[in-house]
Amino acid sequence: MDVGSETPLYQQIRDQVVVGIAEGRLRDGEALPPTRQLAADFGINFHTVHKAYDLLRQDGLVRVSRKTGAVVSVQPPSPGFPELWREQARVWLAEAWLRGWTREQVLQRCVEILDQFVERGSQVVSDSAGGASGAHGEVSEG
Amino acid sequence: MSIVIVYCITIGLLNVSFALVPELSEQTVQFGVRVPPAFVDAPSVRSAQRAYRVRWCVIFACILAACGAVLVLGWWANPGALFGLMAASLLLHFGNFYGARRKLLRAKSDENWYAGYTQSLVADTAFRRAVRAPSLLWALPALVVTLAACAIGARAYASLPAQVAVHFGLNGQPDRWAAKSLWSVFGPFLIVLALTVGLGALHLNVHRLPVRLDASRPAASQARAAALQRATLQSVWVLLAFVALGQLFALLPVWGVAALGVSTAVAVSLSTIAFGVLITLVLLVRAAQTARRVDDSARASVRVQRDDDSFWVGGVFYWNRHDPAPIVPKRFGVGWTVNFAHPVAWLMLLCIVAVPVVIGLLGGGRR
Repeated sequence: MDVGSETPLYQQIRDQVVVGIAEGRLRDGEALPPTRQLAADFGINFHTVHKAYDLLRQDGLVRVSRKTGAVVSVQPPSPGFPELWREQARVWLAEAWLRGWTREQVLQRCVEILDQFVERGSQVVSDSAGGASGAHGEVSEG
Repeated sequence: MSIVIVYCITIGLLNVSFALVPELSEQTVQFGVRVPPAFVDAPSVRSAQRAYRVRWCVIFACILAACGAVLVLGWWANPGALFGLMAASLLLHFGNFYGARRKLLRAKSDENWYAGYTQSLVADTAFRRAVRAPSLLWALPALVVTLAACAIGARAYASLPAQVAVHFGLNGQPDRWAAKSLWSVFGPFLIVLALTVGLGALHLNVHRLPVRLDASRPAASQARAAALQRATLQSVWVLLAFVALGQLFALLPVWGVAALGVSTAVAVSLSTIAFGVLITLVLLVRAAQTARRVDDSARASVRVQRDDDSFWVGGVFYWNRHDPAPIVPKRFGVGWTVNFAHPVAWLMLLCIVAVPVVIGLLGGGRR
């Protein structure tokens, strides 16, 4: 987490968990640390971690129950997900394009990142194969 | 004469522990100042370290000379001499520490060490699965010694006089007496038992304590955190066993079990405790060497640990209102400390102060 970043801390935690799941560092069914423990390890307010977990729950990436705490559980995407994802990807690709990257350079970098997910996060990818293949399709179009 | 050796060991250990100060902390925290990895060998840092070492040598030489004077003048039987030398050592070494610290803080602000770096925080969600606390068998020596002492004391209890010695002066002679009671005979071991229970509770809950990692080298700092956690628990158990053994040695002649002179027994007792302190120091210093130095990849990293100097008052006292943890790992040195901005921390400190006060009142009431 970058403390000086303009991205709020809860958003950074949420993003790190998403990448962690995709890269296989967090497995489907694996429990995330209790909010208080993670907040204590970071030395930040526990509401910040709570908010991050809540976002992950709303996104269908984590299941939260009183008994088990927060557990990684990747659900199929909501109907609005492709459009939302497209909007976010558009901004990132526009920035790369404005900096003078060619189509090949952009695609190469995307493939490098995706390869890491495929290599190490195979279990989770196979669990949500529908959403993942949809994402592949949109990257090639961009 | 044996008491003189104990003096020398005590004052020696105190002085040596200050010589080890720079070796105990990671290179990225020097004299209680956070240093980015690329600056750990900067000329200003090296100069502060050098000045600290030179001044340490001068202080140690002065203390040695003072010790010599105390011996020559025959003041060693006066308790004030030992305390005077200890207080002088502490005062001078702390002054030296804060001198080095002030120098580093000035360099840090003049040279703008953090410009161009991204200050980060990291946590590892798998740390507690990967790192296990040492076995509870480490508690066994302290427990065995305490129970053995209680057994020996129980056998001797009936034959003890109506008044028993409960305190010894620095000259090795008893200077306070109390009516024979369970408290006046077994008190020291009840305290050790209370400490055993407290330490056992810490040992069983150590996984609940926060783990702070360095963003410029998360894997190395994780190995360091694990080694320190392990060594701290082990060394405190060892120290407790030696303290119990030391108490036992002092009480053997009082209980009429061993045909030792009281003053010899006290010297043996203090030497045993000093030996325990020495082993503790060796265990801690060895563990503190784990991943102490930053490697080339950490030096090249643009992501560095957040500069948290503002939360560490005087480099030693932690005050962070936004930190939910009442107990945090020490940034400087080994072990844990409290977050003084957390109300629970004050409650804990109150309990720690209350226990000896209550024990003292209890002991006083029965005298």
